[in-house]
Formats: sequence, C-alpha cells, structure tokens
Amino acid sequence: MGDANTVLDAASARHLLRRTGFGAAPKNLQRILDGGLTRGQAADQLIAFKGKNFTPKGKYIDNAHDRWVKFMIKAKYPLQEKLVLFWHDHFATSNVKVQNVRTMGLQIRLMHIMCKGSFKDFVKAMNRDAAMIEFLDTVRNHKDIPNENYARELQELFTLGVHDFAGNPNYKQEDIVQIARALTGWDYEYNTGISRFHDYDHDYNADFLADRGPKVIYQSTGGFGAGGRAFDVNGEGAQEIDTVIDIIFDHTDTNGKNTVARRTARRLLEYFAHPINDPISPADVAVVDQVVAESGFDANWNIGGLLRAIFVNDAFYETAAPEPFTGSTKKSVKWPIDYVVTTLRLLGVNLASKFPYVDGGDYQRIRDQLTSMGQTLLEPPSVFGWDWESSWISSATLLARYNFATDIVSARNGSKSTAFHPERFIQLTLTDPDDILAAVTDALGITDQLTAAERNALVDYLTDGGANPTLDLNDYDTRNRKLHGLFALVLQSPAYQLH
Amino acid sequence: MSAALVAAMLALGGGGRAAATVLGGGGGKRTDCLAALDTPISYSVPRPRDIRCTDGDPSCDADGVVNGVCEFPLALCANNTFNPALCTLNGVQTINVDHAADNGDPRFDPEFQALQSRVLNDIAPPTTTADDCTNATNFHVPITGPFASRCKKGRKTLTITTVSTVIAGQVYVDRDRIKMICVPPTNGCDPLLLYSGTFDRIQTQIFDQSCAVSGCHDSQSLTGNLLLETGASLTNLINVTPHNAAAAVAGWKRVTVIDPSTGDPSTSLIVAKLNGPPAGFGARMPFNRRRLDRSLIEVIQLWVAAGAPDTGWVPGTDQ
Amino acid sequence: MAITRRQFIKRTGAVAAGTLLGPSLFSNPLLRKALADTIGDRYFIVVYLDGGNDGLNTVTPATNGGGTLRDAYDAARLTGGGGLNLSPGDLASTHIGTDPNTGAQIALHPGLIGLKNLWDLGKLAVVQGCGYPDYSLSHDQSRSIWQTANPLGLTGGWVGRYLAANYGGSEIPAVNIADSVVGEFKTAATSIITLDRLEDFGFPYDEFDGGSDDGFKRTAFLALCNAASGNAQSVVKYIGDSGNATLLGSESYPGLHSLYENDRGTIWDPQYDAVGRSLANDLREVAKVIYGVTQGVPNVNARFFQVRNGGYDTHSDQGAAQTDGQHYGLHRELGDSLNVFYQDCADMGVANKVCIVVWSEFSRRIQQNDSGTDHGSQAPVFVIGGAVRGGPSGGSHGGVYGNHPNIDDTALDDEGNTVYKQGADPFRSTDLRDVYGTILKHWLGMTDPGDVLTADGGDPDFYWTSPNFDLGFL
Repeated sequence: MGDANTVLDAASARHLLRRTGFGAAPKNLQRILDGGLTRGQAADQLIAFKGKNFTPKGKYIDNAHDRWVKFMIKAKYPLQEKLVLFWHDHFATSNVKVQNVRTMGLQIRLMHIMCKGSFKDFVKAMNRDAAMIEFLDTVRNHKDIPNENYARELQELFTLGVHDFAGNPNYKQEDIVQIARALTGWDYEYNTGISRFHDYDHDYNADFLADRGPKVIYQSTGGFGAGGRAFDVNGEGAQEIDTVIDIIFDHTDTNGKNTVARRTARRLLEYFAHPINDPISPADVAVVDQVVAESGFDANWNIGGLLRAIFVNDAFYETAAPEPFTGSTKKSVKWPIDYVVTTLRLLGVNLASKFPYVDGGDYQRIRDQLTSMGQTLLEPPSVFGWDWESSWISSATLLARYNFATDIVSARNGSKSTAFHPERFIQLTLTDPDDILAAVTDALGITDQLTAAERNALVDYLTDGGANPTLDLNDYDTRNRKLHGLFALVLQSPAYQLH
Repeated sequence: MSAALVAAMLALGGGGRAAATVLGGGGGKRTDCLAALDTPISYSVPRPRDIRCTDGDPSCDADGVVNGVCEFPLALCANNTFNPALCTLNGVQTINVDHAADNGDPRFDPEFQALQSRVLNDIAPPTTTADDCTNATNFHVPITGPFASRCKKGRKTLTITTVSTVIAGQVYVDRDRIKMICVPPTNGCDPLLLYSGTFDRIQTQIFDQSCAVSGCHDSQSLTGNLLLETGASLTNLINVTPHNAAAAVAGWKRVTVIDPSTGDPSTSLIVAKLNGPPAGFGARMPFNRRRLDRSLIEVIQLWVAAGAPDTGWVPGTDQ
Repeated sequence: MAITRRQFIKRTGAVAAGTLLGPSLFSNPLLRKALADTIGDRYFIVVYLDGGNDGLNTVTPATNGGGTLRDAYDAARLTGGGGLNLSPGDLASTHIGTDPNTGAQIALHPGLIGLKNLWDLGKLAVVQGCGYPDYSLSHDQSRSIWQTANPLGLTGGWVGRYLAANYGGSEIPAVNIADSVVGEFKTAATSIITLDRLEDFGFPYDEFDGGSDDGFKRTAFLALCNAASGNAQSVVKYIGDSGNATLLGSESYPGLHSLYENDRGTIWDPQYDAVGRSLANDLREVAKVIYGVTQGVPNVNARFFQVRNGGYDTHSDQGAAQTDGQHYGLHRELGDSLNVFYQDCADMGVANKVCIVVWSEFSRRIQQNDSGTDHGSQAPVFVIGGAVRGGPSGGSHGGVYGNHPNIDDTALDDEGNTVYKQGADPFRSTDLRDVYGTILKHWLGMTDPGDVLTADGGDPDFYWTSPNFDLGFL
C-alpha cells in the first residue's frame, strides 16, 4: 500500500512511464530513480507539461493520420498524446462519415488544447466542434425534422452514461428530445470548420415557432426534484447549449454523487489503471469516489487534478504486479497505437518516406499495419470508440503485431535514422544469455513483466536449446540471427502485448 | 490484339502519319514498350506525345460528326513487341492511370477511371503476356467554347505510370503522357449546330464541364445537396429551395420560374452564384475555379428569364 | 480483424509437414459443436461489385408485360453512338423469369451468359429492387450502409456481427481475398484472414538467414504462447491461446495451394485460366480453401469468404451489348467466373453447401448520360447455390424475387433515381436487410436475424419497420 509520498522503485517507475507515455525508456527511468521521486512528485512533473496544439493536416485523411503518428513518435510530452488518444476514443468521431480532413484535424487540435483542462469547458467546446456536428448529425437536427443522435450520445457516452453505479437510468427519452430541441440551428462552414448558430434556422418552419418556449429536463432523474431543470432563461444558441452542459454537470446519481464526475473518473481509471467490470464492484466504486474526492473533480472539473489523484493511487499500480498471477490479477492490453509508437520510440527507429513505413520486411504502410491491428486513428469503428482490452486480441490482430515486430528487426539497411541497430542499446561484449535477455528487456522497458516460463523459453532460444551456452554478439551472423531474433520474440511475447 | 492491328502498328520515333498509331509516350527508350497506347485510327501526330483531330473529321473523330466533341478510341497494351529491336523488356507489375479515382480529385475524369478499370479487368496485372491489351476506351475531348461564337482547341492529358516486374534484378518505370487535342472546324462553332437547344447547351457545355465534376455537384459529392448531372439537373433546380439558409430565408429559389415562359433571374440563386453572390449566400461558383465566361452566364440568365424551358432555343442563347 | 497477407520465403518441408500433423486447437470438441450449431458444413461467399453496378443493364425488362417497363427503359436508354439500349434482340438468348409485379419478361445482360447457365441449372435467384431508405449517392456511404446493414449509423459489418455471436478470437471462420478486412466482415470478436494468394501467406520470420533459425524461432514462440496459455490470469491465457492458434493457422493455409494444385489443378486450372480475369483467380483461392476444408486439413475451418471485383463505376463509355464494351466485359467476367467456381464446387461435392450473394453499393441513374450512367439507387442482388430456389422453376415467377423498380420518368425522384418504398405499393422495394435476413435465417441457421439487423422507425410506407426474413429464395 502506498500514497503520494511513496518513493517509486524501478518496477513502479517503469509502470508509470509505460502507462502515462510510450514505453519506459531507460534514461527516463534513471531520471526518476536518481531523483528518488515519490509517486506525487513524478505525477506532478508528468502532468505539468506545456504541450503543443498539434493539428493533423493533409490532403487526404491518411496523410493527416500519418502526420499524427509521426508526431507521437517524436512527442516531447507523451502524456499529452496518451490523453488525446483517450479523448479521441471518448468523443469518437470518424472521418468515414465526416469526410473532411480539415475539421477532423481541428477536432484533434481541440483535444490537444483541452486534454488536461476543465472537462466542462471541453464538453462545451465539443458541442460546437464541426466534425462532431457532422458526425452525430447536429447538422441534420432541424426543428421540423429533429435528429436526436447527438443529444443521446452526449448523455450516454460523453457525460452521464446510461446507468449510474447502482444500475438506475440517468436520463429518459424525454430528456433526449428536449436537449435535441436546444441543439437545433447549428451547422458549420465546410472549408474553415467554424461552427455557426442560425437563429432563423431555428424558426425556419413558421409552424414551429412556438417550439421555442421553455425546455425542461431531468424531471425524474438527476436529483433536481420533481420540477427538473428548465433552461429557456438564458436565451437561444450558444448560451442555451452551454446551459444544457451546466445542468448535466449538476446531475447527481441515486447515491447522491455527481454523475459526470464519477463516470469520467471511472473511464480514466479504466484507461490508465485497469479494466473495471460491469456492474462495478464496491472496491472499484471506492477507488472512483476516492480519486474524485481527493481531486475535487466534481467541483473544479480539472482533468489534470483528477489524473494526479489516479497516478498516486494504489489502483494505478495494480496491473504491474509481478507473477505469480491468479485469476483475480488485473492486466491490461496495449492499444495498437501504443504498441507501434512505444516500439519505434524505444528502439529509436524512424518511419521512412512520405507514406511512412518501417524500413524492413514488407514495407507495408504504417497506417495499413495499424488497421490490421484493429485501430485506424481518425476512423474509430463507431461512436462507442474502440473496444479495449482483450478485444484488441485475435489471431488477425496478433499476426499484424507479429508482422510489425519482424519488420522492425529486419530493418537493417535503412538510413541511419530508419534502421534498427540493437548495438545502440546492447553491449556486444555480453556473452551470457541471461545477461543478454536482461539487456533486451531493459531496453524495451518490461524487465519486471516477463514470467519465469517466458524467460526460460527465450534463454532456450538464445542457446539453441542449451547447445550453445554462450554467444558472441560481435559475430555478424550470430548478432543478426539471435539478437535480432530475440528482439522480435520479445516484441511478439504475450507479456509485451500488455502494459 | 488482333493480327490486323499488329500488322498496322508502327512505333513512334519521329512522329508522322501511319495507317494506325501506337503511342509509346515518346522517347524511343526500351521502357516505352512496357506500356503503349494502341488505336485503330491514324492520327496527326504533331509531337510524339500529342494526338490531334478536328471535330467531325471522319478520318480521326470516331463519332464522325461535328458535335463539339472529338472521340479518341485508345487501348492500352502491356509488354509490347512492336519494335523487336527495342522491345526487350517483358513483365508488367502495375499500371496506374492518373486522376482515375473519384475521391474529390479536381482533375478526376471518369474516362481515366474507365481506362484504369479496363486495365485491371482486361489485363489484370501482373502480366508477362506479350502484347496484352485492353479493349479500347473512347475518350471524349470537347472543344473549348463556343463563347459568343468563338471557339478554341480543347485538350485532355492522359498520364499512365507503368512499373515493371523485377527484370534481371531491376525495376523499370515507364511514365507516359499523351495529350489529346480536339480542334474546332472552321464552321464548327455554331451552337445551333452543336446542341439541340438552350438547355442541352447548358447541360453539355456548362454543367457537364464545370459543375457536375468530382468533388462538386456530381453524385459522389452532391455538394449543397445539388446534383447537376444529366437527368437530374432540371428537377434539382426549378423552384427548388436552396440549401443555403440565407437565400432560403430571403425566399430565393435555385431557379425561380413564375410561369412556363417567365422566370426571375434576380431571385434565382444560380445566376447570383455565377456572378458572385451577396454576402451570406456562400461562395462564387465554380468554386475555386475560373469565373464562367461572361457569355455563358448570359445564356443562363436568358434561359431563366424565359422560364427555364427544357427544349427549344431561347432567343439570344445561340451565339 | 485482419490477418494480413504477407510475402515470405518458402519454409523447409519438415516444418510444414510437422505442423500439418501437429496438434489442432480446433479439434476441441466444444468448438466443433459451435460450428455444427451455426453453419454446419455450409459455406457462404460474398461477391462485391465495386463502383455501383448498373442494375438496369444487368437485369433488364425485355417486354412490357402488363405494364410499361420496357417503354420506360427505351426512353431512358438510348440507341446509337454511346447509347446503352439493350434491344429485345440483344436479350433474346438470356431471358430468365418474369417480373412479379408487371409480368414483364426479365432478361440478363447478354454478357452474363455464365449466370444464364446457372439459371438454366436452377441455381440462380435474382432479387430485384434491393436498397434502403434515404439512399446515399456516395460510394463510401452507400457501401458502408450495405456492409453494416444499418442506415442509421456505423457499426460492425452484418456478417461480422453474425460471426461475433458464433466464433471466438482464436478461431478463423472467414477469409477475405483482400488487403484488409472488408466492411461486412468487420468485427473485433473473431479472426478473419485477409490474403491475396494462399501460397504467399504465412507466419512472419525475419529473413536474415534464409530460414535456418526459423525452427528455433518457432519453438521459442510456441513456448512463449504455451507458457501464457498455462497461466491462471485470463487475459494472459487468452493471448497465449490466440498466439498459438495464429501460428498454426498461418502454417496451414499456404499448403492449401499445393494441395489443390496437386489434386485438382490439371482439370480446373485451365477453366479458371480460360476466364483469365481477376475475379476468376480470386474465386479460385476460395475454392482452394473450401477444398482444404473438405479434405480435413487441420486448422482450416473457414466457411465465410469475400471477393471483390472493381470497375463498375461506369460514368462513361459503358457500352451496351457490344462484346468489347466495358460493361459487357465486366458481366462476362462475373458470369464466367461464378460459373466455373460453381462447377468446381459441384465437382468437389459441395454444390448444395455453397451460397453466393452478389451485391453492389447502388445501381445507376435511370436516364443515361452521353455514354455512361451516374450514381443511382436500388439494385438487383444475385443469390447462387445448390440450395437456392432459382432458375425456371424456382418460385412463382421462376427464380425472380422482388419487384422491378418503377423506372417511369414520372416516378423518379429529383435525382432521377428510382424511389425506395415499403408498404402496399405495387412497386414495393426489397430492403437489403430482408435479403440478408433471409440468408441469416434460412442458410446460416439464425433463429432471429433481428438480433443482427436493425429496423427503422418512421412511416411504414417509407421505412423498413416490419422485417420479412423469408423472401423465398432459400
């Protein structure tokens, strides 16, 4: 058990780096250990980033995708990218429907700006985000032909959730209808991505002028009492939809807790710490309530503060537990983008060309590789985002990861920055297979994660089943065969698929 | 390819006329044999990469009539053997026609797409078959104009990139560019001769060439929910409330028709859009392209004022 | 999720033979039972015509019958240069059944002689007027709607949702002849192999040493997976199981190529080669997998397939009945390829076990342009197979199901396309979800296809609100 003042040991520090960034690079690990940092100090340093407002741009969506991946590989503050990925999944918007590279890029830029600030302001901004307006049909939401898509997902996915922790509904169909009414009249300028409220569109069909009157929501949920909450008082347009968000953020569940704060904290815990079952267990409820209370997230809505409370909590370190694993041990599967970017960053391998690929093996475009692994950024499968954890794993997606691993280790002949040179991290004077394995797992930041059985399998590989008890890595053939082979196997190992 | 064609083929070295034409894309390099265009027609070949025809010239315009369009039937052949001394390469991995994908590319042309599709289906690369040809695609190149009875040449440039299989450890790339030029005949610039009526002229000369194009008012993009393709344009225009909210609120229509012989250009959004619309009514059309020739805007204005008839000639629109 | 194709060096015979005889995860009796409960020993093949096939010049009215379909057709499809009119004479040898609504004689495009042959054998059903409400003219959107079978929003593919309910992540129930998993197969729950050619597919080993170290790499990889498989933690175990299955699967598929070539190539290769088009070559890869399944090759259990043929976006230079025309060539390719594939399956003894569905994202504009057609709406779907109620004695109108859309100029919408209708209209459309539902229920054994297919709300005359999962063709 620990708290914010617990000094990080190597295993915990590696875990913190893996989960808040792309892999535990030895030099970053060393900085934490040399500084004797506590959980709290390390978290504060990580969260204090002054990030870039990166916008993925391009003529076509795949160009924007590739720029973003390249940005992640170089990003100075990987936590910012990890957060943007979280929000990209949370506010999942797909260019398959939006069909506009510019507005998709602007949404990702918005996420870079808002990723650790006020969640309430963030949701207000998403209301008016052009790509979102297109994706969830706000542009098709007219007074005479309402479209409830956004009003539903705003509550179900972005803020409240369908049910609270006690299993009671958080809103009714009537609340969707009323919020959809408030969201009429919006569209955006196709070429600039600037969203606009058209007062006259609101009144477009004169028969419906009366519809402009009061709107009342949450008459039976949210802890607002029998009268619910009316919101015609603040006028129409931007003020009105901001008021909707203010009301949603005041919503309390049947345990009397703030609904948005609890659900958002739960989602961030699932992302950074470990999977949470449905229905949520009392132990996990306690963790959620603890991080909300510690951070005051239900009043200040500061995402960064909530993150700190998570990063110092014991729950955060649970998935790093070493073996033996039991049925109740918690583990979490790396996202495909995390797998790819982590590997490229740790091994110092750059992508080659304008249509970036790993400079070895199949020369398959990185976007196609990520698609095969089950994650095409800017094209999440639906508004629900991606399915996490074991849904990332199938024969198909695993083979895509194996392909990528092999491509990396066979990138022998590229330019200096695109080639894989293990001698940069591994002393070629090492001869003992255990030492070589330790050096490789250190470089890949998973030293504490391999099980003994996995370790044995890899040592057996290095020694050809015990036939050659030592290795001469200075020998060109041995190095290329066995050291490259070992890197591929570790990247393909079950342990490396976790984080 | 047919034996008759093979016999009639001639490689283009220095241009000139032949009984039939093979276009290697110029040069005289051996990579030219990887892909070449083949056509049953003998063209005037002013430069190795240009083929030229006068609209209606029965010897080269495959449609054979003066209609403002020259038709060029071109087939693409892989692994050509027309010049045994030169053509020593065999093996084509891929053949790509530029601007053949309807993805908003402003230079997309369905005829390029047609050729690409014939390549994929008829030749189905990779191929090592000698003289492996597609069936011919008919390319249509309209003349430019008429603008107030003036006409200019029209042209269309076909670009094809062919990549060989690995031949003796090397990959060869053949990039061919062929310009098709359609020349208006001396007396061939009369709208009365080229079109059956005012609307046919508007559809053919304006909508088809400047509006119903990829990324704009074609079926794939359907910008502004307005479709200006053949068979859809009239019903999408006449007395239809525009998508643009400001114009709709102002009570404008895309084309305002009052009775069968009277329309109102001043409340017809199409006219304003071509001239440069008032603030709030969106951008000038054609979007991000050169303004339509003044004489053509006038044709549309006169047509609208006359009630936008679907047949017949509106006075003043035949220049 | 896709298992991507991959070029790899040929492995030594010893490793390949060893795996063919090696332990199979799929001999697990529980998995066997799951297979038997869902699709049994059947196969399902999806053929996608990419680009929007012109349905009106695919399934064409040759006469008026009791209506005016042929007159309307002649008004929309012109004769002469660039004209797309298929004359009654062009259609004379490809007559099929009659339109259930108007009684018009329906004929196939003369290029579809291969399908006419399947019709005569009683193996082809034609489902007319298939579509969905509020149609899109965009290739991507319309394709996506046909693939998800959900006009209301984007979710996984309709076949994928079916597979997800019946197969696990380490199983490989489907093969797509494609670069990545196609839309209708998308699911995160189970595995789908995507490959171009079987002989080029396999497990990725670093090629540095020409394969001399592959045996050790393979041993180490299996040991890693087995270590994880024995773990008590469920995710670790799952990754181990899946990795194991992936290796075995990737080693089993390449051998299907030589197995087929050895046993069947002499007779069947010349027939596929005679068609000489990409679709025939792709279908031959499917035939190789089916043959492998019939021969009991370990770790090969795929029963769902997808192949695609491109080139249907005929805005220009479409051609009518001319044998060098673009559309004619596409039809020859489709009909001839499917004909050979079906005969091949019949020869393997699985004629009554295959069901093939052929679809495209939309039909094309009723009125032609200069020499082609622009994007349209409802389109015919073909269903082919031994158990299909097709051909001359298929149903009350032969194997023609669903009504021909109303192509009269006055009945078209503002875009010049046919209108989607439900309810009691004589020109009622066939909702694509009823086509899929019929397949799910009567071929794939799904009790309630409503679990996979979403109904619309709204006016029952214009939206799909009352499912009919029994169109009669199966």
